[in-house]
Amino acid sequence: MTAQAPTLVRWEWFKLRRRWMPWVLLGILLLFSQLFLWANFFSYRNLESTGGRVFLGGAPIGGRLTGDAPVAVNCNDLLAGRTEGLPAGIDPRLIEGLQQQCQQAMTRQQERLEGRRNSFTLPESLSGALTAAQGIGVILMAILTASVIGTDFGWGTVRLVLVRGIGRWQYLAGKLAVLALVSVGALVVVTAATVVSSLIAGALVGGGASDWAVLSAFTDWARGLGRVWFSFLPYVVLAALFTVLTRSSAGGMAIALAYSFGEQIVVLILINLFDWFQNVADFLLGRNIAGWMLGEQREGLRGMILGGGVGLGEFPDGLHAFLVLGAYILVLGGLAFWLFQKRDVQGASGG
Amino acid sequence: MQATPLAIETQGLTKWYGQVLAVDHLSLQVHGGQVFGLLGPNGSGKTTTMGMLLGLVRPTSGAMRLLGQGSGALYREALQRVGAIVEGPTFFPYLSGRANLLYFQGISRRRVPGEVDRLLEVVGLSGRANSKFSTYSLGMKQRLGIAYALLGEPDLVFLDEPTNGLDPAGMAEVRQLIRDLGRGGRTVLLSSHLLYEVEQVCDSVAILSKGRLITQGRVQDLLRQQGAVRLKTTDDGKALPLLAALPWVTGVRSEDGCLVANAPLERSWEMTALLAKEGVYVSEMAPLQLSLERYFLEVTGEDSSVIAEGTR
Repeated sequence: MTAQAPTLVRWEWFKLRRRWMPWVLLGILLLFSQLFLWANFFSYRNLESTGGRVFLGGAPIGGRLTGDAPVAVNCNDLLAGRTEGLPAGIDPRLIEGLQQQCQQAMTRQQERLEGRRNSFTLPESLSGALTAAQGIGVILMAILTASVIGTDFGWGTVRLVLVRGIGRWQYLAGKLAVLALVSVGALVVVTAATVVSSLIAGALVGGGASDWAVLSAFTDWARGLGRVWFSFLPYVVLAALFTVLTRSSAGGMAIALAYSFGEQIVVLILINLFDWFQNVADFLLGRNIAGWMLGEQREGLRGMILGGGVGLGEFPDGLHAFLVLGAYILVLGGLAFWLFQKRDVQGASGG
Repeated sequence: MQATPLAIETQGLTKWYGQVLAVDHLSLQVHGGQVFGLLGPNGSGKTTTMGMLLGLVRPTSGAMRLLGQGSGALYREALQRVGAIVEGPTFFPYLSGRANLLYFQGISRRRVPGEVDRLLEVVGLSGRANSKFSTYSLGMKQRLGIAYALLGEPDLVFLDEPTNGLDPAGMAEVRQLIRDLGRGGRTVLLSSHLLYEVEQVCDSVAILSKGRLITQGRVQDLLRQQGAVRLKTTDDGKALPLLAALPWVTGVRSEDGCLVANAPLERSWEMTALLAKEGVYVSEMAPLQLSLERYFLEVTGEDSSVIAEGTR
C-alpha cells in the first residue's frame, strides 16, 4: 500500500505542474515576499537621501495656521539651510525648532540606516521575506488545496483514479503529500528570490561581503522555513476537509477563507467584550498560528502579525501553539480522511 | 460458456439513497470471457450497480465479488485488473489526451510499455493525441474513454454508453472493438440505451427495472423463450380468444391482417391442433423472432419513447 505512495505523489506532481494555478499562486507569493524587501530598500534610500523628515502642520506661521495638511520637510535640506520647501513667511523660531529636531534625529541616523539596511540584506531579509510569505501563504495554500482536491470532484476524475484500484486513503494522502512538498518548494523559491534580491539591493546601496554571512545562518533559515511550513499545514487540512465535505473546490475555498477571516473578526470583537474569551481564543487556529510564528522573537515580529495585534490580547506561547496546531492537523486531517473513506463518489459536478 | 469462472457476482446487493431504493436485492452472475449487456430504463439502478461494483458507491447490504475477489484489499487488487468508463468520459481538461492516459497509466500497477500510443492508434486519436482534452468533440472524448478503459490490458471492462456522441462509422468501429474485446477472452460489461447495439454485440444480458433484476440470460435464449408465432387463420375473431386462453401463451394481438401469439415455438403444433378442433384452420404459420427492443419493452413495461431517450 505504502509502496504506491511515491508513485502517486510523482504523478500528482505531473498533473499539478501543468496547471496555471500553482504558478500564478507562486507568483503572488513571490510578489508579496519581495515587496516587503524592496519596500525596505526604498525606505532606506529615502532615509539616506532626505536624512529623515519632520512634519509641519497646524502650527502658527506668521499669525496664521499652515492649514490642515502637514508639510513634510527633509532634514538634510533644513540642516543645510535650504528652506525653500517651507511655506513663505514662516516664523524663524519654528525653523530653528525643526533644525534641532533634525539634529537629534541625525544622532541616530546611522543606527536607523543600519536597521533598514539589515531588513533588505542577508541574512535578516530572509526572515522578513519568510514572515511575509507566511501571511499570504496560508491563504494561497488553502486555495491551492481546495483546487487540487475539488477539481477532481468537479471534473469527475476522482472516479477514474479510484476505479484503477487506488485506495481512497492513498489517493487523499498522495494529494496532501504533494501539497506539503509544493509548499516547501515554494518557500525555497522565495528564499532563492530573496537571496538574489538581497544581493542586488545590497549592491545598489554599496553592500559588502558580509552579505554572504547567510551561509553561516543556514540553521536559522532552515528553522524559519520549517516554522512557516508548519503554519501552512492546519490550513491545508482545513481546506481539504471542507473540500471533501462540499465535494467542490469553490466550497472548500470559500469556507476555509471565511473561517480564516471570520475568526480574526470574531476574536477582535469578543476578546474586547469578554475577558474569559481570551481562554477560548488560545485554542483558535489563527491565533495559534500567530503565536507559533511569533515564537521566541515575540516582540520583534509582533508588528508583522495581524496589524500589530492591537487589541487582540496575548498570543499563545510557542509550545502551546505547536501542540494546538498539531491537534488541529490530526483532527481536521482525520475527519477529511474518514469522510472521504465513508462517502459515495458521485459523477462530475462541473464545479 | 457456463463453465467459465464468474467475473462478476452479486448477491442481494442493495443500495438506499436516503428513502430512495436504487438497487433492490440484485443477484447477478456474469461469466468470464463474454460481452454482457446491462439494460434498464432511467433510474433502473444500472449506474449505481456499476458504481458499487467499482467501489465508488457503498452498498447498503449484500455481497459482491469481482474476478473472484470479495471485499477489502483483495477486491482492490481485483480492481487493478479492471478498466472502466462510467457516466461519460471525463478527464483532466488542461491535459492532452496522451498526458491523460500517461497519468492513468502511471498511477496503475499494471503498466504495459508503449500501450498509450498503441491505444491512441486503436481508438483513432493519434492525430489529436497532443491536443488538450477540453478541445475534444464528444466523439473524441468517448474514444479517449475507451482507450482509458483498456489501459493495463484489463481482464474485465466496464463500458457505460460507449457509443454516445459517435457518428455512425465511429459507432460501427466501437462495436467491432467491443466484439473483439469479448473474443479476446476479456469480459465486457456494456451498458447501452441502444438495444440493437446490445443485441448485436452482447452474448448475455441482464434487464433491470426499478432497481430489481427482471431477467438475465443469453440474448438468444431470452428471445427464444419469448418467441412469437405469426398465424393466418380462417377466422381470426374466433381464434384470438382461443389462443389467449392457453396458459403458455403470454399474449395475442392482431397485426397486419394476421395474429401474433407470444408463445414458445416448440408448442406451435398445439395451437394448430386446438384451432382445428374448434373449426378454425391455419392457412399460414411462421415463427416471428422478437427483437431485443420489443422484448425489453415487454418485460419492463416501458414505452418506446423512453427507450429512444436513453436508459441510464
